[in-house]
Amino acid sequence: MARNARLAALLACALVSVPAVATTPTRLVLFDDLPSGPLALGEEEQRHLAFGESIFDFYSDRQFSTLSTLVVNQARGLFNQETAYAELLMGELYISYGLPREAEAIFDRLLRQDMLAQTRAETFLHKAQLHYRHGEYAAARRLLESRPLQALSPELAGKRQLMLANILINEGDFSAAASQLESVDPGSVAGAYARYNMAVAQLRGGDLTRGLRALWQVVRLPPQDGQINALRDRAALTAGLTELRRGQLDEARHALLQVRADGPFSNEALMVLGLVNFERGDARAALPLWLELARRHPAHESVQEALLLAPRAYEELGADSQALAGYRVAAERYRDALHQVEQAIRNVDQPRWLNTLADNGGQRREVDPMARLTRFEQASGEEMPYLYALFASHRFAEQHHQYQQIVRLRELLERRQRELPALIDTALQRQRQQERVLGNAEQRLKALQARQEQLSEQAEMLAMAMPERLDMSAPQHVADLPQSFMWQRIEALMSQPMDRRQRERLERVRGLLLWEIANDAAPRRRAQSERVSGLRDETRVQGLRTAAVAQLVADNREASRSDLPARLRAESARIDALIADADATLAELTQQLKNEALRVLADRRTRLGEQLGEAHLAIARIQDAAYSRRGAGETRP
Amino acid sequence: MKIRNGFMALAVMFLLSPGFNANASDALAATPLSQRIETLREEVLALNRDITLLEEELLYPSSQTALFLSVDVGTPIRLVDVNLTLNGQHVGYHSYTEQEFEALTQGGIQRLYTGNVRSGRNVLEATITGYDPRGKDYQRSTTYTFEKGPGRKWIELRVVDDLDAMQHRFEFHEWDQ
Repeated sequence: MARNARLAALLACALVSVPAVATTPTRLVLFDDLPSGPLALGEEEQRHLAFGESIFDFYSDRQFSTLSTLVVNQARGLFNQETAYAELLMGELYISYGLPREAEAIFDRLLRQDMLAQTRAETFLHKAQLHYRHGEYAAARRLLESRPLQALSPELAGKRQLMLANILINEGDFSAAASQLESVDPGSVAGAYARYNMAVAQLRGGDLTRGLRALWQVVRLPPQDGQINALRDRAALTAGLTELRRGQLDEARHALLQVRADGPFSNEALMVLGLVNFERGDARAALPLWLELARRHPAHESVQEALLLAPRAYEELGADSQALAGYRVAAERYRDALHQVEQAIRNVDQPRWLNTLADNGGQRREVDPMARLTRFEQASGEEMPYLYALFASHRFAEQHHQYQQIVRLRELLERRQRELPALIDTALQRQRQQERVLGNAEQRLKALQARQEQLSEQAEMLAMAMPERLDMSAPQHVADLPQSFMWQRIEALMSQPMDRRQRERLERVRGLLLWEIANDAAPRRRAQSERVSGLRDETRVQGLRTAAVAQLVADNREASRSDLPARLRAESARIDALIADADATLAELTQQLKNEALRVLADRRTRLGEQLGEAHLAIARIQDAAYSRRGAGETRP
Repeated sequence: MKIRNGFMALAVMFLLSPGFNANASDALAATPLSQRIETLREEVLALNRDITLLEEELLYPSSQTALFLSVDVGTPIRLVDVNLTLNGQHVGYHSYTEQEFEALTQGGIQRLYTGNVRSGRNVLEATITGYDPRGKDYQRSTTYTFEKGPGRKWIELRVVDDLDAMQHRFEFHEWDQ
């Protein structure tokens, strides 16, 4: 929806800018009343087609290609300050690509010039977004609350309100944030997240009533796509936890029952629901929940907790033998999990660990450098179940995205490096060929031009010589070949001396022939006219061709003198330097990401070690108690 | 109580963690590494631009022919693929993904072909396959003759809706430089 709005605005800009700039008839290209036949390829037509190409790439999710095309067209001088629509798109893409300074320069430049109110509003919005992404909330807020933003389209106005609401939440002004969110569709992903964020902020600020009310707004959203459903689960879980913390056990239970059993938060929900039952003194009700949870993958923290909680519930119920068995199972699974974490730490320490994460089903090479990879089905290894928390972190996800982007930019550089030798060879071969053939080609071209001009003149003269009206003063011109021979023969005979009777007979034959010629003259003249017209057309085309060859010769003459091969070679050195830069950056990023992953795994290892210790202590405790009881002659049910 | 520990950990995890957006600035804070990444991005973009321009200078100095394709904005008729021949030689084929077709209906224009075409008369033939709004497939062809002179030649093939026939029809627009 936001994209549609953006396109509508961009197209509107493109359309409106044309009459303002172009005064030539070529501006008609944007409308449907185009005359047939070729038009002059003016600047506006080139802009229209070039921007259309960018739109095609943009909506095909080839953002790097879009940005590259825009930058190339900017270098050609096609897009500049006059083309606000292209500048705006370029600014937006610079933000996505991670070049905020370039984006800001564009927005500042745009804001200094006269433009449509809607384009100005969009520029303000982009600039505010830029400040927002940099955490400069005060500057972002100033822009978002400024007058020009009132001209935004409804979709973009929603985006503005969301951004403003998030800033207000950050500032703790929840009532102002809530009023901003009033008109934002809560069913939209961004609207739902904003409400959730506000609820969390209110809870953090101690306003439990409002926080819980906001959480329930999210929980009650109708079931939609995966993202919204996951957020509903998360909101329900947070509500359940909050109610549990303040001792409202029934409300906690009610909230937790809203979490889907097959959703991403079902482990946490099961654990907390067990806790609620346990807090109510109903260990029997808590036990099946924790037993169910204990059967799941031990990498999850809730499962690890449940491994200890289930035997604890057995203890509470006085079933010591089951509790003992439970603690033993827990100890065994903690040991297995510790082995897995150790293996995961070794895997993460491998030099090519991050490559396995970026594999993405072998499709990486096809991916635009600016695309966000979200599918990691192919990523495997002991470490993966332990790193989900890491990937859920915004900071790690952003760093990983940067890593992937640089990997793909490096691939682009390598591809360019592979292509360059072919381009250099082509340039050199052409120069050699040009040296060989150009001199001769120029001479032959001159002769051809002279011949073409001559033929063209002849065709013109022929056309001019053809009378506009059909008359029979020169019947041989409209006669067919036999008739023409016959006419010449009769004319020759007529010029010879003969008697009167013979002359009369000859004149009768002449008259008959003239009648025959005249009878067919009209269609024959039409055919002649068409032939002459065809001839003229043919000589015109030949003129075009000789002009094209002359242009080719001129291009080749210029190319033979150019230093293109040297310039291409220089690009090769530039690519080498950039690949070295990319490698150094990747090495540093890899180390950062690895450190982060190792930190998470080390925390997990510590926690698992503690839990293993707790399990062993519990085993010892139960066994001691059993021995004590046996010594005292007691029995436990 | 021991049982409370796990609960507290989770409570902290959920109660103190907002959804996305709120901490967007964290990873983008300026660090020497992020500045290096920015510089690298900038330079790769500039290199890509320069090589594209050099490539163009080498391959298509001043007289290239380019063929573009566009469709009616918001057309209900789905374009599946397009096949192009120039003077009897196959020069291009493109099969549209759903997203690419969507991009066309949003006002996108696709460059189907760029090359050096012989001067004089040239015959272009385009064949498209599509689905009408009822889901029925069909194929249509068109032939277009154009004259190539000394300068650049740009041709736009507009695939426009013929809603009476529930199919496409073609319009060609030409520009000379």
